[in-house]
Amino acid sequence: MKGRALVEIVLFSIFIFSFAAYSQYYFDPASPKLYLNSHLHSGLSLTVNNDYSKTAQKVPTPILLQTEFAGGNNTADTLTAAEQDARARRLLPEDMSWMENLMWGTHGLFTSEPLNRTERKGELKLRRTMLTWHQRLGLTTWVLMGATVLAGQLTLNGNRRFRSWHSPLAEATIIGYSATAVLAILAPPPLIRREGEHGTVFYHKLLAWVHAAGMILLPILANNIFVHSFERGQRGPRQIDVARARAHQITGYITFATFTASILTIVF
Amino acid sequence: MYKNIILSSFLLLFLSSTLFFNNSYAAVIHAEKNKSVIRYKLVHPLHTVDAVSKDINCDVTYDDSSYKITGVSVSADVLSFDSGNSNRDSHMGEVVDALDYPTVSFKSDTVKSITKDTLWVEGSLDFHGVTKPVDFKVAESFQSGETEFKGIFYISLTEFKIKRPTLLLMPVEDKLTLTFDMVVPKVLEKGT
Repeated sequence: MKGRALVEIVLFSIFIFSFAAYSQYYFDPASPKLYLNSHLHSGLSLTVNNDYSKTAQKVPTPILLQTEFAGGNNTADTLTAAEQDARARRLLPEDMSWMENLMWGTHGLFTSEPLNRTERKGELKLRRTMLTWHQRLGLTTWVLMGATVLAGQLTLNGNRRFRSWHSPLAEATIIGYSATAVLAILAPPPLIRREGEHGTVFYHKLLAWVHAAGMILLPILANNIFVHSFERGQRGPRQIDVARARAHQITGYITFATFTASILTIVF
Repeated sequence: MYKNIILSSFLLLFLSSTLFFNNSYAAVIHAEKNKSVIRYKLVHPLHTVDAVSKDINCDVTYDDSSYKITGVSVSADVLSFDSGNSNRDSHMGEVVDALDYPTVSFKSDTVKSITKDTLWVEGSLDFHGVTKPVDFKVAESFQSGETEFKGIFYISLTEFKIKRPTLLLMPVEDKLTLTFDMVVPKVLEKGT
């Protein structure tokens, strides 16, 4: 049981770190971007970067592509580092979290320098693959989560045989949930990201905060449901603590409901 | 004698006036950017997507002498379409290979007048690196020094070699509906 709990904690630590990093800009889009790799921008004026990043969404792409890629003598070799950086940034959305910058920025860990169109196309292809799998795994996880809730409820109703189903289903849900989240979090940034937009994806991610919190709480609460009884100072057999079981049950329902809602937001 | 000189002078004057003072020419008129829009509609089994672009370059070639529109060219940045969801627009940008084919453009040299306020336009649409002929009706209206053109036409995504985007593992319909509303800052009168 302790080993299982440890695995769950490690999985969620990774997930929460990624989630927090990824979600940073959603809740403070106006905040200055934190470039972890800003030391790599040495020699570049921050103003220049910001100017280009601001025009990224406003300057039509044809200008970028016609001047940058469709010929002329402005090859990468003849450009200064600042120019290369600015051009590469126009391939990226305006708003990127520090984690996206770290991985997929102009000097990101997974990008070659300077970032060019061919590489960016590869990133977008990877993004689509990751997001397709995010949907597949998300739907699978939803089924698993529903089955876990059902098995848990049946166990609480007195059908003890479902307890042996509940635990493995919960573990499968945790694995599926973590993989689903990581796929979305680590995916390369999109082509466009408009500031202050409250579309379906915004609510999808907003609800993710709730079900992610639920997914952290659930295994913790589950590990505390069974307690030892004490009679005359002697430790007795393990028994269900009804209040704790109720807390786990309610958290499970809330988590499942918000997870369902987050899927439904994408539909509308 | 004098009569011949006077007649010749009048003839010369007439000829020179037709040669040097004939001001009929084909003018290119730019549509007003803040008033002109192109929309697309895409149908998914779960919902319909409507996106609009207001960043359009539209030129109408108008022959003042014949009072006829002789050509139209329209182009828009494929990433300028806004459906209210940048993730979705980014996805569309991916499926139409916006980095390779950043613009969608239409060009026509055949504009026929069907009725007083209806035109028939035949031209070619360049989208996703594929050029296909398209034709459609255009409703024309005049108001306060402007001419407004409205129309609708349909294209097939697969004909333009575009892989249909999917949502929740379900692809959108193949039919893409394009509507436009172009406003040029001039009343383009029609010849009789």
